[in-house]
Amino acid sequence: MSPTLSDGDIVLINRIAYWFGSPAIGDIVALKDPRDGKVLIKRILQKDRVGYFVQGDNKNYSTDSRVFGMIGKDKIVGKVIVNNDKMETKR
Amino acid sequence: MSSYFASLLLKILPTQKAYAHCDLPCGVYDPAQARIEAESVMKIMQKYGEAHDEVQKMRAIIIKEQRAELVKHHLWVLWTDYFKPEHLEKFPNLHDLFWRATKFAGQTKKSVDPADGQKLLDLIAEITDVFNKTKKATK
Repeated sequence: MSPTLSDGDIVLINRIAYWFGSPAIGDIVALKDPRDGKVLIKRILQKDRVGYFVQGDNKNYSTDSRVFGMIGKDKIVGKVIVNNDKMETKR
Repeated sequence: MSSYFASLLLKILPTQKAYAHCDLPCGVYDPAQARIEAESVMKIMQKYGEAHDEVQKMRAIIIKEQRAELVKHHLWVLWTDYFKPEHLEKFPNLHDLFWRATKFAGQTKKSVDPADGQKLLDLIAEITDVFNKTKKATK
Protein backbone atom coordinates (compact mmCIF):
# COMPACT_ATOMS: atom_id res chain seq x y z
CA MET A 1 0.00 0.00 0.00
CA SER A 2 2.94 2.29 -0.58
CA PRO A 3 2.95 5.31 -0.50
CA THR A 4 -0.13 5.42 1.79
CA LEU A 5 1.23 2.85 4.22
CA SER A 6 4.72 1.64 4.95
CA ASP A 7 6.05 -1.48 6.59
CA GLY A 8 5.49 -1.32 10.36
CA ASP A 9 2.79 1.36 10.27
CA ILE A 10 0.02 0.97 12.82
CA VAL A 11 -3.53 1.61 11.74
CA LEU A 12 -6.88 1.54 13.47
CA ILE A 13 -9.55 -0.74 12.05
CA ASN A 14 -13.15 0.25 12.57
CA ARG A 15 -14.90 -3.11 12.69
CA ILE A 16 -18.40 -1.67 12.98
CA ALA A 17 -18.06 0.80 10.08
CA TYR A 18 -19.92 -1.45 7.67
CA TRP A 19 -22.49 -2.98 9.99
CA PHE A 20 -25.20 -0.68 8.66
CA GLY A 21 -23.61 0.54 5.48
CA SER A 22 -21.40 -0.61 2.67
CA PRO A 23 -17.80 0.12 1.86
CA ALA A 24 -17.43 2.98 -0.61
CA ILE A 25 -15.10 3.21 -3.56
CA GLY A 26 -11.83 4.66 -2.32
CA ASP A 27 -12.15 3.26 1.21
CA ILE A 28 -9.11 1.50 2.57
CA VAL A 29 -10.25 -1.74 4.13
CA ALA A 30 -8.83 -4.65 6.07
CA LEU A 31 -9.94 -7.90 4.51
CA LYS A 32 -9.35 -11.59 4.78
CA ASP A 33 -7.36 -12.97 1.86
CA PRO A 34 -9.77 -15.45 0.23
CA ARG A 35 -6.83 -17.77 -0.43
CA ASP A 36 -5.45 -18.21 3.08
CA GLY A 37 -7.40 -15.98 5.48
CA LYS A 38 -4.49 -13.62 6.18
CA VAL A 39 -5.59 -10.08 6.96
CA LEU A 40 -4.68 -7.71 4.14
CA ILE A 41 -5.07 -3.98 3.63
CA LYS A 42 -6.22 -2.77 0.22
CA ARG A 43 -8.28 0.00 -1.33
CA ILE A 44 -11.76 -0.53 -2.83
CA LEU A 45 -11.51 0.27 -6.50
CA GLN A 46 -14.87 -0.93 -7.79
CA LYS A 47 -17.99 -2.49 -6.40
CA ASP A 48 -20.96 -4.21 -7.90
CA ARG A 49 -23.49 -6.90 -7.06
CA VAL A 50 -20.83 -9.61 -7.21
CA GLY A 51 -18.56 -7.98 -4.66
CA TYR A 52 -15.67 -5.63 -4.25
CA PHE A 53 -12.59 -5.24 -6.39
CA VAL A 54 -9.68 -4.27 -4.15
CA GLN A 55 -6.26 -3.10 -5.21
CA GLY A 56 -3.09 -1.96 -3.48
CA ASP A 57 -1.99 1.63 -3.94
CA ASN A 58 1.38 0.43 -5.26
CA LYS A 59 -0.47 -1.24 -8.08
CA ASN A 60 2.54 -2.39 -10.08
CA TYR A 61 3.64 -4.64 -7.25
CA SER A 62 0.48 -5.39 -5.31
CA THR A 63 -1.18 -8.77 -4.99
CA ASP A 64 -4.90 -8.03 -4.90
CA SER A 65 -8.21 -8.67 -6.71
CA ARG A 66 -6.28 -8.95 -9.95
CA VAL A 67 -4.89 -12.16 -8.46
CA PHE A 68 -7.58 -13.48 -6.12
CA GLY A 69 -10.67 -11.92 -7.73
CA MET A 70 -13.56 -9.94 -6.29
CA ILE A 71 -14.25 -10.33 -2.60
CA GLY A 72 -17.56 -10.50 -0.76
CA LYS A 73 -18.54 -8.16 2.06
CA ASP A 74 -18.15 -11.09 4.46
CA LYS A 75 -14.40 -10.98 3.80
CA ILE A 76 -14.10 -7.34 4.87
CA VAL A 77 -12.94 -7.00 8.45
CA GLY A 78 -13.39 -3.26 8.75
CA LYS A 79 -12.49 0.20 7.58
CA VAL A 80 -8.89 1.25 7.97
CA ILE A 81 -8.31 4.62 9.54
CA VAL A 82 -5.04 6.01 8.31
CA ASN A 83 -3.43 8.85 10.14
CA ASN A 84 -1.64 11.28 7.92
CA ASP A 85 0.94 11.95 10.60
CA LYS A 86 1.70 8.23 10.65
CA MET A 87 1.31 6.92 14.17
CA GLU A 88 4.60 6.02 15.68
CA THR A 89 4.89 2.89 17.70
CA LYS A 90 6.61 3.01 21.02
CA ARG A 91 5.50 0.06 23.05
CA MET B 1 -2.77 11.62 16.65
CA SER B 2 -0.05 12.01 19.24
CA SER B 3 2.32 9.17 19.86
CA TYR B 4 1.06 9.12 23.48
CA PHE B 5 -2.49 8.53 22.33
CA ALA B 6 -1.26 5.94 19.86
CA SER B 7 0.60 3.98 22.49
CA LEU B 8 -2.42 4.20 24.80
CA LEU B 9 -4.63 2.74 22.09
CA LEU B 10 -2.11 0.00 21.48
CA LYS B 11 -2.31 -0.96 25.14
CA ILE B 12 -6.09 -1.07 25.38
CA LEU B 13 -7.11 -2.33 21.96
CA PRO B 14 -6.47 -5.82 20.60
CA THR B 15 -3.79 -5.74 17.93
CA GLN B 16 -3.25 -7.97 14.95
CA LYS B 17 -0.78 -8.03 12.10
CA ALA B 18 -2.16 -7.08 8.67
CA TYR B 19 -0.39 -7.35 5.36
CA ALA B 20 -0.40 -4.58 2.79
CA HIS B 21 2.41 -6.33 1.13
CA CYS B 22 3.86 -5.94 -2.31
CA ASP B 23 6.16 -8.28 -4.12
CA LEU B 24 9.79 -7.35 -3.72
CA PRO B 25 9.92 -4.60 -6.30
CA CYS B 26 13.36 -5.22 -7.75
CA GLY B 27 11.75 -4.53 -11.13
CA VAL B 28 14.52 -6.20 -13.11
CA TYR B 29 13.01 -8.40 -15.80
CA ASP B 30 14.49 -9.49 -19.11
CA PRO B 31 13.55 -12.34 -21.46
CA ALA B 32 17.29 -12.64 -22.22
CA GLN B 33 17.55 -14.96 -19.20
CA ALA B 34 15.16 -17.44 -20.81
CA ARG B 35 16.78 -17.00 -24.23
CA ILE B 36 20.29 -17.79 -22.95
CA GLU B 37 19.07 -20.99 -21.29
CA ALA B 38 17.16 -21.93 -24.46
CA GLU B 39 20.30 -21.38 -26.52
CA SER B 40 22.04 -23.83 -24.20
CA VAL B 41 19.23 -26.33 -24.79
CA MET B 42 19.68 -26.07 -28.55
CA LYS B 43 23.49 -26.29 -28.41
CA ILE B 44 23.26 -29.34 -26.16
CA MET B 45 20.92 -30.99 -28.68
CA GLN B 46 23.52 -30.38 -31.40
CA LYS B 47 26.33 -31.70 -29.21
CA TYR B 48 24.26 -34.77 -28.37
CA GLY B 49 23.98 -35.51 -32.10
CA GLU B 50 27.72 -35.12 -32.60
CA ALA B 51 28.77 -37.12 -29.53
CA HIS B 52 29.88 -40.75 -29.78
CA ASP B 53 30.68 -41.19 -26.14
CA GLU B 54 27.80 -42.62 -24.07
CA VAL B 55 28.85 -40.71 -20.97
CA GLN B 56 28.95 -37.49 -22.95
CA LYS B 57 25.46 -38.21 -24.31
CA MET B 58 24.15 -38.90 -20.83
CA ARG B 59 25.62 -35.66 -19.49
CA ALA B 60 24.06 -33.78 -22.39
CA ILE B 61 20.61 -35.18 -21.52
CA ILE B 62 20.97 -34.30 -17.84
CA ILE B 63 22.16 -30.75 -18.50
CA LYS B 64 19.52 -30.19 -21.18
CA GLU B 65 16.86 -31.22 -18.64
CA GLN B 66 18.17 -28.63 -16.17
CA ARG B 67 18.43 -25.85 -18.75
CA ALA B 68 14.92 -26.50 -20.06
CA GLU B 69 13.62 -26.25 -16.50
CA LEU B 70 15.39 -22.89 -16.13
CA VAL B 71 13.74 -21.68 -19.33
CA LYS B 72 10.37 -22.51 -17.80
CA HIS B 73 11.30 -20.77 -14.56
CA HIS B 74 12.43 -17.54 -16.24
CA LEU B 75 9.35 -17.46 -18.46
CA TRP B 76 7.08 -18.00 -15.47
CA VAL B 77 8.70 -15.08 -13.63
CA LEU B 78 8.06 -12.82 -16.61
CA TRP B 79 4.55 -14.11 -17.04
CA THR B 80 3.45 -13.84 -13.43
CA ASP B 81 5.53 -10.91 -12.16
CA TYR B 82 6.34 -8.61 -15.05
CA PHE B 83 3.28 -8.77 -17.28
CA LYS B 84 0.17 -7.00 -16.00
CA PRO B 85 -3.52 -7.01 -17.01
CA GLU B 86 -3.01 -3.83 -19.05
CA HIS B 87 -0.40 -5.65 -21.15
CA LEU B 88 -2.89 -8.44 -21.78
CA GLU B 89 -5.39 -5.89 -23.05
CA LYS B 90 -2.88 -4.71 -25.65
CA PHE B 91 -1.57 -8.19 -26.47
CA PRO B 92 -4.51 -10.55 -26.12
CA ASN B 93 -2.44 -13.56 -27.24
CA LEU B 94 -0.02 -13.14 -24.32
CA HIS B 95 -1.40 -16.00 -22.18
CA ASP B 96 -1.50 -18.33 -25.15
CA LEU B 97 2.04 -17.38 -26.13
CA PHE B 98 3.41 -18.07 -22.63
CA TRP B 99 1.42 -21.26 -22.38
CA ARG B 100 2.86 -22.51 -25.68
CA ALA B 101 6.41 -21.42 -24.81
CA THR B 102 6.50 -22.96 -21.33
CA LYS B 103 4.81 -26.10 -22.59
CA PHE B 104 7.33 -26.35 -25.40
CA ALA B 105 10.20 -25.84 -22.95
CA GLY B 106 8.91 -29.00 -21.30
CA GLN B 107 8.77 -30.72 -24.68
CA THR B 108 12.46 -30.01 -25.31
CA LYS B 109 13.31 -32.22 -22.34
CA LYS B 110 12.02 -35.14 -24.35
CA SER B 111 13.65 -34.17 -27.63
CA VAL B 112 17.22 -34.15 -28.95
CA ASP B 113 16.23 -32.52 -32.24
CA PRO B 114 17.88 -29.08 -32.65
CA ALA B 115 14.86 -28.01 -34.69
CA ASP B 116 12.84 -28.21 -31.45
CA GLY B 117 15.50 -26.10 -29.74
CA GLN B 118 15.09 -23.53 -32.48
CA LYS B 119 11.32 -23.60 -32.14
CA LEU B 120 11.69 -22.81 -28.43
CA LEU B 121 14.01 -19.91 -29.29
CA ASP B 122 11.45 -18.62 -31.81
CA LEU B 123 8.72 -18.64 -29.15
CA ILE B 124 10.99 -16.75 -26.76
CA ALA B 125 11.74 -14.26 -29.55
CA GLU B 126 7.99 -13.64 -29.86
CA ILE B 127 7.80 -13.00 -26.11
CA THR B 128 10.83 -10.70 -26.34
CA ASP B 129 9.09 -8.73 -29.06
CA VAL B 130 6.02 -8.18 -26.86
CA PHE B 131 8.26 -7.38 -23.87
CA ASN B 132 10.17 -4.74 -25.86
CA LYS B 133 6.91 -3.15 -27.00
CA THR B 134 5.66 -2.87 -23.42
CA LYS B 135 8.99 -1.37 -22.37
CA LYS B 136 8.81 1.21 -25.15
CA ALA B 137 5.29 2.10 -24.08
CA THR B 138 6.46 2.93 -20.55
CA LYS B 139 9.40 5.10 -21.66
